[in-house]
Amino acid sequence: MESKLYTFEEVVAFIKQGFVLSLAGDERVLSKLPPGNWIGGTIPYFMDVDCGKFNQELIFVNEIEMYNSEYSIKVYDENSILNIASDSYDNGYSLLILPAFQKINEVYSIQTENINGLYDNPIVGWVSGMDLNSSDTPKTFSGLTGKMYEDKGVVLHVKLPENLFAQVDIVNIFNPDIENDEIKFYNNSFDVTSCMINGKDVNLAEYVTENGIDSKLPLIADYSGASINVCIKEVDVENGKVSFFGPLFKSKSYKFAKAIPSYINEFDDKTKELTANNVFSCNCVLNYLYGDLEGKKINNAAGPVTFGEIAYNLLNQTLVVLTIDEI
Amino acid sequence: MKIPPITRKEWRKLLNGELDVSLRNFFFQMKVTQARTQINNGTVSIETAINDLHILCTKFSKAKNMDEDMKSIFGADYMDEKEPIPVHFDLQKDIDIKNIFSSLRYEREILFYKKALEKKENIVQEKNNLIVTLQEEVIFLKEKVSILYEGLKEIEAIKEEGEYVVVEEKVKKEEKTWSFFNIFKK
Repeated sequence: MESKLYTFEEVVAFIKQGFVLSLAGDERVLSKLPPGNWIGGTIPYFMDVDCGKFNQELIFVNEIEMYNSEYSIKVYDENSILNIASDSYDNGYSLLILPAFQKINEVYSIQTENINGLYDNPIVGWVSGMDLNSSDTPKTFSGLTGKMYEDKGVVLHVKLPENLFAQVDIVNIFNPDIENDEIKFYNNSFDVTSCMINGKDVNLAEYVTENGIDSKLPLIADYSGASINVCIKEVDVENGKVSFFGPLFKSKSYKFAKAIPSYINEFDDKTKELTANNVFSCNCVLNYLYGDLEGKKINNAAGPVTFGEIAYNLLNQTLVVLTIDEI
Repeated sequence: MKIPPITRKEWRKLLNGELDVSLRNFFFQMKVTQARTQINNGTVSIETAINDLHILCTKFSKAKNMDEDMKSIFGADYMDEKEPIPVHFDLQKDIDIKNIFSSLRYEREILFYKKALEKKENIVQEKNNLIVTLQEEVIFLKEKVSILYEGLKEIEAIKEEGEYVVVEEKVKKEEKTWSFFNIFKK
């Protein structure tokens, strides 16, 4: 089954036929689905096969191919989420959906590196959200029970036969500007007041304002060659605080990204190697909004447009892709 | 694709930061970053980190860009190289009681590999490349244990009465460890 937006009736039929599914859609449609072999999260923004869309009636479907193997659906709270890798199969992957703005999201993203066996199998997924012009709240769903959660994560653990393996990759259209100042942080946190810039203690909110830094540009840290973004959520000059959509780590050095003239051109350039047989893909709502991606197409990267992307760690403003290949 | 044996010094250099390469495979980038952080924090020993990384690189050896990453770490012709077995301690020439402490380190390494081997036993049976890699490790360890064993016997012979008992106990322990490796004898 092609990964794309389907009508409510089509999705009900898929569930009744016993397909194992990962679903993304508005709370009002997901909550009416029958129980079955599915997990889901709320979001009304999508990169469909033809273009970016805002839609509150259709549901994005990723069929999870089983290869005659096993799977399990589990629900995690903030106390159990760090067991996610222990619950995975020896060979396979875990598809995780976390609700935005909740404690579980913070616990997972700050403590990811402490998870035992984190890299034994790919952990991919996304952070659920809502229409930004509504008072809705992000939710997750376990199709097994039909239950909806505001503060829990849902995971589909998939076992793969031994001739196959899963791998996760990312597409980041941003690069750090090497001319920019080096920024280090005192704590692992989503919120920052003071930080160290070029060795001096500085209030980050004042620094961003006084230097006219575009708050749409992420901070970037180098992870052995991978550029990992952390995006600004709010600059509160009055209280001298900057809030981020992901955690900043005291062990890392950050630089603000270079501005890019066209998001879609960057995606066109950097997604050339993607193939159409992705198992799962998601992209960030900030790319969708800042890059004006509604009505624009990104090749071979259809999926939910999310409030955070998961590729082992919680990422920001990044396209995540999961593929399955033969050993 | 074959992953270079765990005995290659580049693994250690990669994780202690001495070798600063920009990797391309996403799993590898993230795992190396985590390992470096944990080593710096003191939460994981570099030996454990190297072992974990080697097992996972073997598992994901066919992942995108892993070949390029191995070339950037081990050199473009890393697939053709025959790695000589490094000898860290020459006990034949340097017989001293301090080598017992070296043997303790070897014991820890041996137990770690044994655990890893047991865990991956089923995979080893079906994946030739993994068997080759692990067998190389076993051969290397057998060599190390053999050298230690001989060295300890010599220590036993020359030590005074008081130290003799301690040495004898160590040799007995080495013999127990050695019996594990007999399983792997062809």
